Amino acid sequence: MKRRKFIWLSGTGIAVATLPWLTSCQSSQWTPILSVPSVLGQFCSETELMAIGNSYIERVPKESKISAIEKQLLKAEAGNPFDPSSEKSLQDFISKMNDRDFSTDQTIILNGWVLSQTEARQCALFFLTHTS
Amino acid sequence: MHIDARKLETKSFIKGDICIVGAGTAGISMAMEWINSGAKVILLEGGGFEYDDKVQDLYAGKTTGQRYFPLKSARLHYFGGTTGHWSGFCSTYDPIDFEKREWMEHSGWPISKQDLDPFYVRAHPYLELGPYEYDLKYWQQRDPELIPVVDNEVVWNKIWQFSPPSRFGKTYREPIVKAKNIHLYTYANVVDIKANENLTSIDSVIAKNYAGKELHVKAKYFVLACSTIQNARLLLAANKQTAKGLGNDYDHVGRYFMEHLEIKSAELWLTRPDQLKLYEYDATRRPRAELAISAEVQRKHSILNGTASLTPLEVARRQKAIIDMWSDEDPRKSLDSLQAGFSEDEKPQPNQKHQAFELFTRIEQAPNPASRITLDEEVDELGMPRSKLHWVLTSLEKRSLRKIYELIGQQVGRVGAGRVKLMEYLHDENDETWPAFTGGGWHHMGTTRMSDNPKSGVVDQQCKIHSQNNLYMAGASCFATAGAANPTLTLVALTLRLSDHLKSKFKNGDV
Repeated sequence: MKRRKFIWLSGTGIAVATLPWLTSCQSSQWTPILSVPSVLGQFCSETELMAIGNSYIERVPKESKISAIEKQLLKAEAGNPFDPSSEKSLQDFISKMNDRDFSTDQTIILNGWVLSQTEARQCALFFLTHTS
Repeated sequence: MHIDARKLETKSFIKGDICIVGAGTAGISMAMEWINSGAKVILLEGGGFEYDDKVQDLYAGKTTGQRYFPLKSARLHYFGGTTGHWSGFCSTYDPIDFEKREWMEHSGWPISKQDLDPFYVRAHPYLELGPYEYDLKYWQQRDPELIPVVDNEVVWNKIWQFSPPSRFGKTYREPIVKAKNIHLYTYANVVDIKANENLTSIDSVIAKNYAGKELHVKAKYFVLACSTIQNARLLLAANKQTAKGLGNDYDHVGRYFMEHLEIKSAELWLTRPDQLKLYEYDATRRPRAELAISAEVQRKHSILNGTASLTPLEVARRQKAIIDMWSDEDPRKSLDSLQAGFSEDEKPQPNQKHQAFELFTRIEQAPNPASRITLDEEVDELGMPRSKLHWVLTSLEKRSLRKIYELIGQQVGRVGAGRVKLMEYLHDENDETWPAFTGGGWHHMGTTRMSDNPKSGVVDQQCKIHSQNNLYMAGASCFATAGAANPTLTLVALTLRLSDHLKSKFKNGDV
């Protein structure tokens, strides 16, 4: 199976105070970053990521829209505030969410992969952004 | 001393203090303990010192239920028994293996791990193992490169040691043959057991061979040590005086046959390629670890005990399933096939780093009365009914397997080491079927299970048949549960414990 290592897309100008896009179905300026699970992306082909994302949406149909998933992904928590000031801070935020998920057993098995809830959503986002 | 039973008179009568039936791992371990003991020990072996296909054929039988290896090639029938081709994997059972677990029906031994500990120590030299050390830290002090991929309160690293492997037939032939008080009879296949009138104790056993000779052996104590399947077969076939067979008042003999499920289960993908030396099975046969689930977490999730071994994925993907490689009735041909499947060029190169590993499971099966040995209508050439194995698994095995890899996956993710991917047959949590490549480890256990109460098992905690005063079982047939580890070390430890018990009785003149 073809596997590829995903390279983070270079973000530009990620500094927005309000989040009007969260209520819409459209992708946001953070979507390219959010939609690539950094660890899983090292092991899976795009096709496999798409399939995982599709499985997530089938399992959790209420999160079948980009906005709904991004809303879930960007939920700030105590000790891990959402800081959209840079690509790096966004990556750190997601990384901490992943760590939290694994530490609290918030995991899900999709297509055989034992994933954090966060990276499962990232796959769903990947699927949606590539099919919409 | 050694006597070839083919050269005896047509009908011979012999008498000893202890009669051990079977010169395999358990039988030889016990006989070694009795050298120069002052007791006259009769050691009966069905085969000779070398493989003989005609003798081996006495082990042939039918299998139904879950696909299994041919019974004829699943054990070896000569002096030394199955150590003649075993691979030497050894580890202790865990304390939880002996406990009553509410989620596992029929679990619980009447003895604990603590009861076996001193005998594990004594079993080590017989199997030519290293120091009795199964703590990861001990081995890390000797090799700091033994770094676990994960080691915490959920997933721990269970150590295995490797016997050279000891070939009991070669290693212990000389001391046994030279021992004046050990009377080894080869080509003496026990085919019947004769009890007294009240059926409370054994009077004699009858052995036969292809030369048409018959041997009647009387002793104060009898120990059946001829493997899990054969132990049950002998008791069931001893049905002239009692229709159900000896020790079978409550219909337990032959039931609760257990194996270790051995099956490819998942993949471990690392964020940073690594050798993972701790888990390597290399030519030096140094100790290695397998990933295991802590007892507390097993309790929390009500799962069975099992472990995962690691093999570089590119190597594992080239290997066929063991059950497919070991399919010939002739154990020599099956062994050739297996060895070809694991040939040198398939093995990982030393010090090579890998990004992905196959996770291969060895897991206990839950004790199950429906999984059993019975007698076939067909008889072997010595007139003894052949064995039939009906191997049955339960939904608990599948659920446990899936949970184990979910737990390992969670912990691997938690420590940032990578991700785990379950194989397809584990994707659907409602799927209770098993793939065609599901196999066992040739680990036969449980057909004369140990229990406090005759209503729930066959032997007591001293391995004595509940209903008999002088009939004991040695080996893995006494196991009440299968544990996660290969059974050889534990069966030797249990045999040494039985040996001590019999020695104390012998010393006290108890008959």
